[in-house]
This record gives sequence, structure tokens and C-alpha cells, in this order.
Amino acid sequence: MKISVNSLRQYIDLPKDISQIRDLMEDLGLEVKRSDDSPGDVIFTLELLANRGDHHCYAGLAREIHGRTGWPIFLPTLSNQHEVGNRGLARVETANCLNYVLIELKKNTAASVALSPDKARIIEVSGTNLVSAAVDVTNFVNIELGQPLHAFDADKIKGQIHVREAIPGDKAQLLFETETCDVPAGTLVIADDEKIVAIAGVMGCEDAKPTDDTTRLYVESATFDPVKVRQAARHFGIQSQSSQRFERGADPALAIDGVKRAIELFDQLGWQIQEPLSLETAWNPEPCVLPLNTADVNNYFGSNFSDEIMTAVLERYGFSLKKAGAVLDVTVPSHRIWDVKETRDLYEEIARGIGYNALPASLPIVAGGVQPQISLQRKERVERLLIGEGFYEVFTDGFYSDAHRRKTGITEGHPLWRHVSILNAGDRSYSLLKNNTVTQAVELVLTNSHVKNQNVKAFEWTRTFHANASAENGVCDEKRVLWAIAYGESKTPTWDGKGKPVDVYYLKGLIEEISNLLDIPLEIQQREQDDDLAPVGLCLHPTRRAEIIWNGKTVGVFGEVHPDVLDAWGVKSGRPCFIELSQEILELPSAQRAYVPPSSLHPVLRDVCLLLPPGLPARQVADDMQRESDWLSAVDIRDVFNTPTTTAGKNAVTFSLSYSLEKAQKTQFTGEEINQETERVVEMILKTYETDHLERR
Amino acid sequence: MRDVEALKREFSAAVKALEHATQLEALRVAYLGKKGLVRDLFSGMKSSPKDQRVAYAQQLNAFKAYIETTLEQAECAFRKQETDRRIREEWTDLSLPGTTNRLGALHPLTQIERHCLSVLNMLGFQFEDGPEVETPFHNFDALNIPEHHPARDMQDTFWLDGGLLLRSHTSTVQVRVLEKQKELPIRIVSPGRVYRNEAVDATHLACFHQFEGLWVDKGVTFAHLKGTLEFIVKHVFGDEWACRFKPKFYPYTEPSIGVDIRSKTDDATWITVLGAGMVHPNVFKATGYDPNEVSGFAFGLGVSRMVTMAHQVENMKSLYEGDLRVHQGLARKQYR
Repeated sequence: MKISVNSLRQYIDLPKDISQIRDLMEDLGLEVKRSDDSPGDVIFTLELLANRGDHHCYAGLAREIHGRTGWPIFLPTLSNQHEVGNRGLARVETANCLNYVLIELKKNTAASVALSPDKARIIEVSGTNLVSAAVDVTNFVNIELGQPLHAFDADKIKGQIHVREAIPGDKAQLLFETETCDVPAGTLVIADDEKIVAIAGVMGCEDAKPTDDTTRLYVESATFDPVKVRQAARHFGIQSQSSQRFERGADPALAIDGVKRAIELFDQLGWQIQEPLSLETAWNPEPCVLPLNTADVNNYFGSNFSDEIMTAVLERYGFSLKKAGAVLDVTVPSHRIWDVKETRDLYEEIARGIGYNALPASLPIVAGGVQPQISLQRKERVERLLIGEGFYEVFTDGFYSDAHRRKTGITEGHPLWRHVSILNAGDRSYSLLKNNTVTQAVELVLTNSHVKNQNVKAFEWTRTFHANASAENGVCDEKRVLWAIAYGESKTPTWDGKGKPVDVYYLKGLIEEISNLLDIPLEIQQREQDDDLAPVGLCLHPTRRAEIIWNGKTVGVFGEVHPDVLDAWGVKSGRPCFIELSQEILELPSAQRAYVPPSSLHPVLRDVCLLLPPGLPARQVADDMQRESDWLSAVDIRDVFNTPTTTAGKNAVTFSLSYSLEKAQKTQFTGEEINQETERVVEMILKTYETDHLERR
Repeated sequence: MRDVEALKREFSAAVKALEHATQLEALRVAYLGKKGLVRDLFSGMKSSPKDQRVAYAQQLNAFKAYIETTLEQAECAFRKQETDRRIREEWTDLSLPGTTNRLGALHPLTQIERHCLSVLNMLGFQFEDGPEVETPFHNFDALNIPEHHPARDMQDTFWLDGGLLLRSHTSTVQVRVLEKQKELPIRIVSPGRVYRNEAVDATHLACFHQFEGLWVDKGVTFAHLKGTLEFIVKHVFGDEWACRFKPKFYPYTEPSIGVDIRSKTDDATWITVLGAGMVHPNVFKATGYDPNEVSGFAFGLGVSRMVTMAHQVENMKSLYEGDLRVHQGLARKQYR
């Protein structure tokens, strides 16, 4: 809302200092978003509290300032001389119209007299155009007192005015529109016998608008149901000053007072009221009386305010108080019935009247601080690892579009095909709640590729949504996951060209480190069959992916992104590698671990190089070798290479066998003994894997 | 007897004639070795006249010491020469960038959230999480947002099958905690992702983050709320910030307040960083508490605003788009 400070001075005695006024208004919740100098004046753009419809006018702002300061206010004095009756000009046919007053005015003279400049300025500053004397009066009364009025050219009204709800097929041509539009059934409308002449509380229609030629007016002053007005305003996408006022609940007393003020102004402009005012329906709600215990107020605020202070504040705000035993009965003024409904609401009035900054503050007594939960501490350990490796945390949305799903190769029949749909965002990129993270991870690679960033390391703690009718909420399960994607160099690229591209072993190393940091033994299982594979694994390279297992349960998957997915997304070079891990890992019980001190004896080592066919895991061979000899403390994989000429498509793997005197329970080994034992182990392994064509190199 | 002075001159000339450190050893052997000149001279001393023998021995000892010292000095000189040469040859261009693997970073919002969480841990607040797919009860009704409230409009909320929705604020977590936990006090914070069906621009996102807290106990007062908010401002932002309180409206708190801060050192514009209020009695009623028995307050920190303040990032959308240059730029800001 935009107001002129000079105009506000017409309604309350304000100090000269603009910054003092501004600070005071903000202290009252009348937030000054902008302050613009204007010749001889200052214009404030206010952001008003959503529940305070009464603030949307000069009288309301003056009342609010008066409530704090007690500065004199000057509201218009309204005549009580007018006769109120029912002329049958209108029929109210819906309970959603709470008050309806219609007055008839006739033009006395052909001369068109405009509103006084000070009133015209109030209208213009508010952002409303000056239209015609008749319309300007209605706009002015709304901005001044907060009562929306609407003027019709009475000669364009056919028959009687009906306040009713729209029926199917109803149409209207709203003001400033050239076409008619459908009016949804149930919308609160003002109609005559033939047509709709206004959407109640929102906007008038072209068919009954007053013009300079109008000589007879109907002016409506009403109270409409806030919800009905809001629904109509949303439907038509219109936020008029009237709808803003009605949506927040209008003052029932103003239905009559508003027309009284209008009559006074119309009279000045040469319009004659036709008595009586036609009150078609009247709403006289029972006064809201709330009990107030001032001791409770002081307990609530931790304060020690006297009864007199509290009483004075409430009275300044327009509440009337009466002693009723140990409590005060507080009657809510009509302009506050929509937001002051409980005793606790009165506490807020007292707080605002005194000033929040003047209320006491004290920190509650706290026995002590707390450490972050274990899961958060574990999370931070994983983050430190990833950040140390150059990963950046990113945030992605919880949804994506159907196009995203298709690009990731998730077609009907794919285990990830079923998604939870967002019902009211189908026309945007938000139609599906994500059930995997690889889609957005690959999109991120592409985003960075487009800006020539060929080295990407990113991770996110997020959640995926999995359609499941038997879930607790009947729709889906939410799974919390950690995902990471790496693409390009495994270390920060440098000018010396000593980089090494990211590959699945790099990711595997991260998983091994996570396992170590969290004290949870994670195993890597490379499956040959897809049947039991975690669904997201199907988006990964079939022979370069593996599952991450804890205690027999799959807790994640990692691997290179499937070439088809990269093709579909247009990632033309490189091999992005991806991990998805369930956040269950943050909650798993720590395994018992023990420190094994290094042996004081030098290890005895022998290297053995074998040619392993594709598909035979080196770790399996190493484990079998270790099981074969009681003397071996470890069998490590020292080196792997393959070239078409030297290894004929097989992997040449060098195993390093560590012999331990402690394990062998001997005091010494001879070289001959070790060589013989090594030979025996190798022969056994070759025999074990004879059918796999394992060879010695 | 030999002329020791002449021998000394001869040795000095030989040392001066050396060109490389490797020649030093040959000279040392020639003079000080088992078959070297010095040993020969000492062996020949017996044939010298008896009355001159002592003086001759002294001359030989001095000659030997001179040889040792000179050779040592020569060796040092050669070593220095060699080192100087190596130093010259080993010039390295340190204008080239360092080759250490560079660290990544947490998202700026997470950094702010963790900072806030560490401050709130001091007051005993614990992290609490909840579902993002929610019921209207947890997202609206229990928070005193009735059926006809504007926040329930289709335009603002993402709706799912089964009448469910994507939570539009993290206050849902507070409702769930109040429903579940009947042991007091309750002190929780619930940072998390929320959704609004809004037109996306630089400052409005359909999916963004909130950080809210809740304190419920017997006898919690408005003064406690103010005291806690002052504590948060002091420890999250620092002593150099002043704060002020102003009325606000949130359906789930009553009274509701906003907290503005500004630097104490200048008269800059006030910035709203916190929204808060005493828990509305209807929220307690909806979650099985008697508002006459318990009281409490809730607050929400404007973490996005704090990121803007800390990093001068005006376009929040850029922090959600996955362009790592933004994150790298924030983690490695340029010196001005």
C-alpha cells in the first residue's frame, strides 16, 4: 500500500521528523519497504500484516499509531440524519453476503465537479487512477475508511439487483476487458435480471459502469464472505483494493458508515441522495467479549506492567473494558473482529501497544549444551573426506520432468518407471518426484560441460521418492541417500600433466574410506545378474558397476554411468562415475575394531604374476591363495596390466605374498622353504582355476 | 733434510692448479697417503743431523697441518662452487600454480545451517528431520492454517495423489515432534528442503531451504523468546550487530515477531533475518497439548538471506543450478 505522509497527517497528529515516523511505523508492524521523496511530501510504500485488513486505509493506520502513542486522531464525523430502510432495490440471495446497502443518487446539475485536490492525491498516491467523480468517491472512501464501495449506472440496471452465486453458463465482461469470460459456478456476483454487473468485492463489469453521462447511480456498500472474495480474486487473477480489503474481513459497521461518508462527498459533487438508504441485509454479529487476566499477561511476557498501562493500551486501540470480578471483560471493536478472537490475541495488542522492543528479555535457564547427534557427526566425517577429494556439495530439486525420466533411459518396464506425480505442475518441469539421483547427477555433468568445465566432482545428501501404495502415507516411501558424481581428472588438474582420469576404482577407494571412517564394514559385490541389483544400478555400465553391501544388505551402488544414458543426455566424452549410498550408513552400529601392532620381524615377501581371464576377480584369487597357506599373513594385489600383445586379453596380475613367522609359528624361514611354499600355493591355485584358464606369466 | 718451505710452495701451487673436486683426493693421497710425501719426510728424519732434528720435526708437523687445513679449505671451496652451480641450474619457475589437490566445499547454505546449528546446540537444541511428502494436517490444519487460508491455494502448494502434498515449510517437523514427544522440554531445529508452487526467478524457487526451531516447556515466556533470539543474533552474527523486534503475522504463532539486524557501526538499512513467535494455542490443541499447561516459541532463520549477506549472492537460483563454477568461486573468493 502506498500512502502520502502529508495526507496521513490529516488523520493523526504526526511529528515532523520523517525517520521518527518511519521507525515508529515499523515498530508497529507497518513495514516501510520504500520511502520516496515527493515535492513537499514523502510517499511510503507499506508492507502490511497479512491478517490486518483494517490497516488498508488511512483511518486504520491512524488508529494503529494512536494505539501506541495516543497522538490525537481526526476521523470524519458521519451524519446520523439519513433514514435507513429497505426500498427493495436489491435482493440478497446468498448467505455469503453478510451486509448489503444500496443507495440511489441523482445528479443535480450537469456540471461535473471533481474531488478536492487533497482527496484526489490520496487516490493517486495509492496507485489508483482518477476515473470519474462518481467512481473516485467510492475509491476514496475505501482508501480513507477501508470500506469498499461500488457504483453502478442505475439506468443500465435491468430490473432488480440480485446478490447471488453464479450458476453454470454465467458470463461477465469485466471492467477494462473487451471480451466476456466464464464465471465459475458458486462465485459471488452482483447481477440484475439479465446479466452480471460485478464480481462481488472484486471487480465491476463494463455493462453497468458509470460514465460522465450517468445521471443516476446505485452505490453499493457491503460485507462479503472473505473466502468467497478470495476465491474469485484468485480465479480471475485480480487483486483490487476492494478484494484485498474483503479477503481480510471487512468491518461490518462500515457498511452503513461507508455510504454515509460517500453521501457527504457526493453531495459536495452535486449528487442528491434518494432516501432512505436501502439496507437489504444486515449483519450484526454479537459483540466479541474476551476475559483478560492482567496477571496472566505479566506471566506471559515476564513483565510487571500495571493494570492501568494495559487498560490504557487496549482503550487506545478501541477496545472497551469492564471489570468482571478478577478479570476484565474486553469487548472487541467491530474493525478487529476478524483477527482478535481469543484472549491470547489481546496479549499481542498489549505487546504492540507497549512495543516489542520495550518488553523484557531473558534467556531461559539451560542445563547445558548438546553435541550434534552421532549421525550428524558421521555425516561430517563423510563430508570431510569428499571435500578433501575436491567434491562440492550441491542442491538439486526434489522433482524433475518426464523428459528427464526418458533421457535417463527409464522407459515402461524399467524398475524405476513408476514415479509419484505432482498433480498441479504437469505443465512445468516438476511433474515427477524423483526416484533416483543419477538423472540430476548426469544433468549436472552436462551443465558443467556446457561451460567447458570438464572436471566435475559433486555430491548431495538428498532423498528419493518411491511409489508404494502400502507405504505409511499410502503413496510413497522416502529414501534418504548420498550421491556423488565424478568426471574428468581424479585430482585437481595441473599444468604438469600428471593427472589420472576418474574411474570406478577411484570411487571404490572413496567407499573403502567411508567404510573405515564410519567403522562399518562395507563390501563390494559385482553381480553378474541384474535380478537383485538395486534399480538405480541399471542406469550404470553393466560390467563396470557393483553394489555396496553391509551385513548382507545392499546399501548402495556405484559404477560408470551407462553409455546409453550418456548418449541420451548428450555427454559426448568422458566416463562419469557415480555412487548412490543409503543414508542408513549414518545410523548403522559401529563394528568392533582392534589395533594390530606391526610385527617386529621383517616380512618375507614373494611376488607372483598370474594371467587372469576377464570375469575372474583378482581379489578372489588372492583370498584363495591366502587360505591355501597357514604361513601367509596377507596376499596383496601389487600391479595389474594388460596389453593385446603381452597378455592376450588377460589381466597380468602381480600378487605380493607376505609370509609371517608368527602365523607360521616358526622362529625362522629359509629361502628354500619360502620358495617351495610359494610354488605349492601357485600350483594349487592354477589347479583350482584350471577351467578358467588361469596361467602363470 | 728437505727444504720444507719450498715443498710448501710446491704444494700451494698444486692446490691452486686443481680444477675439480675429484682431483683433491689424488693430491691428498700424494701428500698424506701411506706412501705420500709427508710420511716419507718423517721417515727420512732419522738421517738428519741430531741437533737439527727437533726443529726439523716441528717444521714437518707444521707442513702437515698446513696441508690438512689447505685441503679442507679447498674441499669447502669446491663444495660451495658445486652448490652455487646447482642452485643456479635448479631455478624453478614458482610463478606456475601449485599442484596440491584442491579442496571442495559444502554448499554455502549448509555452511550457514551448520553454523546456526552449532550455536543452537549450545542451548540444547537438537536436529530433527521429517518427511517431505506430507499430509494437509501436518502442513496446514495443525499449524492453524484452516481450509480457506490463502496458503492452501493450489497455486502455492504442490499436490500429490491421495490428498498428500510436498511440505511448504519445515514447521511440519514441529507438528510431528509435538505429536510424538510428550516429554518436556522440546528443543529442536529442523533445517530442510521445502516446496512452493511459485514462478521461479532470482529470488523465488520452487524448492528451497528453511531452518526452523521450536522450544516448548512449562513456563516458557515471551521474555524467553526475546532472550533466545538475542542470543542467536549475538552468536550467529556477532557482537557488532544490533537487533530490533517488530510485529509480524504467522498463523501458527501468536504473537508473531520479526527480528531485524543492522551493523552497529553505521546506520545501514535494517535487514530481517528471523521470524518467530509464541506457539499458537491452536497448534498445541491440534497436537494433544493443553495450551494452559505448556507454552513455547518457534523461530525461523532466514538462511537464504544470510547467504546473501555472507557471500553477496543475490541470485539464489544460481546456488541450485549445479554450475560448479559458482561453488568454486564462493569457496575461493578473489581478493579485492
